[in-house]
Amino acid sequence: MIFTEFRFFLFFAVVFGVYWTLRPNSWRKAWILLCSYAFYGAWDWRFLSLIIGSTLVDYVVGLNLGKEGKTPKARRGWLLLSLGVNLGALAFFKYANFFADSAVGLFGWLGLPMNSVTLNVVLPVGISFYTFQTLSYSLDIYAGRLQPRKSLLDLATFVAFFPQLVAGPIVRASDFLPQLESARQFSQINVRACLTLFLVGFFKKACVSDNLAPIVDRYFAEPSAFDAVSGWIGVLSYTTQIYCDFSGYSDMAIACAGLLGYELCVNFNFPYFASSITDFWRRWHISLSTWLKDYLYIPLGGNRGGQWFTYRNLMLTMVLGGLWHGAAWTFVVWGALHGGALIINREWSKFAKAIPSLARPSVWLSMLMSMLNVALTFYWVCIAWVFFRADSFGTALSVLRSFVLMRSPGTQQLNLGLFGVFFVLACLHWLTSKEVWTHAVDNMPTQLYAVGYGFAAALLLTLVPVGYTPFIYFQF
Amino acid sequence: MFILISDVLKPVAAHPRRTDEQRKRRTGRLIPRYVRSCLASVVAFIVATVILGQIIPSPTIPSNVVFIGPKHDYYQAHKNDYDTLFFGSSRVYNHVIPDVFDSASERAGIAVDSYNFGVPALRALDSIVLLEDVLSDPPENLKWVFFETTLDKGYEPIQNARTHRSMYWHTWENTGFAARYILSSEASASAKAMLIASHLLPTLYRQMNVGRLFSQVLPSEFSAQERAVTKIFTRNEGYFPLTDKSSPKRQHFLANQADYEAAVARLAEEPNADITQARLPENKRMLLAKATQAIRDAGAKPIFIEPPSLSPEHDFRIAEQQGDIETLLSYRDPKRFPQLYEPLQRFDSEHLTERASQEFSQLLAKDFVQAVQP
Repeated sequence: MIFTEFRFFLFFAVVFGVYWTLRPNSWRKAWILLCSYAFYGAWDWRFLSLIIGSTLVDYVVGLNLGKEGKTPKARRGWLLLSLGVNLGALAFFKYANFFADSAVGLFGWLGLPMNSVTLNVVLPVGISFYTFQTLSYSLDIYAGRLQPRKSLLDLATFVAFFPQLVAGPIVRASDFLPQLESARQFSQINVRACLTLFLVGFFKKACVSDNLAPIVDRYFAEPSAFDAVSGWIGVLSYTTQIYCDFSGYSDMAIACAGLLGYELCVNFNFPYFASSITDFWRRWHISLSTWLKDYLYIPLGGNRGGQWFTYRNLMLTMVLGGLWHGAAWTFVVWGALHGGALIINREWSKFAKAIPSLARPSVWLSMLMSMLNVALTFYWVCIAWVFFRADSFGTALSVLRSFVLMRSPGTQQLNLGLFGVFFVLACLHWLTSKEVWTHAVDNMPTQLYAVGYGFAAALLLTLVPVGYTPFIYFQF
Repeated sequence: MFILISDVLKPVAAHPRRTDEQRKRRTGRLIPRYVRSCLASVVAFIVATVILGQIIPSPTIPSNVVFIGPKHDYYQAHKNDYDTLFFGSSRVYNHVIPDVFDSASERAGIAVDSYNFGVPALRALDSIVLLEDVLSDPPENLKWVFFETTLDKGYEPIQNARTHRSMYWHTWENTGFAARYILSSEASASAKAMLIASHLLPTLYRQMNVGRLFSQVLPSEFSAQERAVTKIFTRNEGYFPLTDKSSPKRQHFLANQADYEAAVARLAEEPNADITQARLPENKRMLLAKATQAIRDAGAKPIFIEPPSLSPEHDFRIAEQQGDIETLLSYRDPKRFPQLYEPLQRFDSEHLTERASQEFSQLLAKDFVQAVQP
């Protein structure tokens, strides 16, 4: 079940109606938990056992970590149990075949041929997301940032909360669990903001991303068959598709949670207007980048050591972040490209500070530089997306030959009109970033808003492509 | 287009709390206000869908319906070249070779030009809709129309609901016909409810104009595989040969040949079954009458076909016996047509190989000439 399906609207209407009819908070949480399990079970009920197992393990680990008088060794042991179970499940379901294939390749390269073993493993949807959520619970308790929950219902609701269960945002236990302590009040909800946000997310996912999907699929299936200009269309299409797909999902998730009275963290903040790659990672998939920073980069030492130590940590964090997205070397390269760019960006910042004309530029130079920075960052992000999308290095290099060198042996063409679509979308996006629409929507009379919403929904449906395209981030 | 505002609204949505004062003011008048707003939204939505449906109406057969669209486009451009049309499921689409059929008919004494309008996975209801839509503007010299279908329960797979294939024909009128077909069947009340419900979702999607504007501005592209298939059947006047030996159905057939042979043996006994007392359900009679009427209205003679399948149903034979259909060419008899049931002649349990399709087309032509010649 995905948010743009008709059955989800029915599902959510029932969830919403019953939820606000129930009075006791514990009943509401039980209802949400039941619905969350049903939501996940609609995809594959067998993997519910994984979520429930992970919840139980972290519940027990949390209680033991919170007990007074535990020795540091015992606490470490409990933490290792949580890490072992959660990361073990992730490793088995997501990375078993990747590591086995890589080992076979490595031994073959060393002249020690091995038989390849491929496990017939189905990747449980959303495993990367809920694993990180449960880990944040144990890690925060271990670090003393969070008190363990005695209520199993609370913890289970946090882990399985359906709006963000399968594709994030990755919610921290310390942000979400306190919200479960008291019953939410309907009168405290900004219904208009939530409804508008849902429609926006729907537009991004169903009207933009889903319509670009077949174009992207067609191009990346055989990039060498297309000319160089089509290479640009293909890459820009994917760049737009992945943003609209993922941020659209996040918007709808935040909106659904908001209508039930819960706040989820912001996940995107106009990432393609970032002025540097460091800025990009403050704006793109914010819940993941902050998770990686807090639970990986800083524990690795962050920037507390020397320059090389910092760079090692940056690269390691980004490479592992790449691997989190998918079990393939192309994702590793994607992470490494971002890691490399972060390092270069740090060096450049230091260099720029040392040059007076760059450190204190004139107005015109400042404007020119910020435009150039945005363009360069965007270009680099597009190049990195090529590795993210391509199913092999051969395909990625073929795409880059068109996108970077403007060379391609192909003659087929994608629709040039798509440049116009990108331009319109970019303008709308820019105007949005300048908050052009916000006040108009917020100050509209209620009845006018209601009528406008009905018209907008009907219009959006005419732009929805026929057939479903699952969310890209479901696979991660 | 005020809609790319999510990033701006996020701070609002992420902090949806109101102050206590605001909350107090709103309490009490909240529910009636929301009910009113919801109603206003729903009414606006319905009005907008009706208006949009008028502004951007759906073509009767849109070009982007896989198989059907390209076949119809080709037919529209060449329809006066043909005097014979074949309608049916994959058992027409993959079995009737117009070239072979035309030359065999000519050799037997009647010169025809035929076009294969068979479409894979066509069911009873959509086959009759397609037949009526195509024949509403028939070729000038149309003489014969062959019709094959499985007279099924009228189920529409729910997973297909949001596809062009399912949406395009779910007009109110056709959905009404589907409902009548199901209601006059012999299914239980609960089964009828389920079957009718299966048609409501595509009807709803169609009435809500899902994808309508986008399809007209930038028509959906077929996949590479669909484009390749379209090229082949367009070249063969609608016929598509089954040659992909790696297909799962083919592999399944090869792995379970003994089951197939047992099914053939069972079927071989069935044509002798006594059907003299059997009665065709009202809904099936209605469907066959509708097909016959549509063909006659187009100025042609209807010829019903029962292809060499393993289906256990005797519907067409009963219909012929009851006088609901006039001409039936049946090949559902392994004793009379052993050459069409031999495992070597089958691509899978339901379909013939290309070579067997040639034999079948010749046989059909011969029987056709015998049946229509005075």
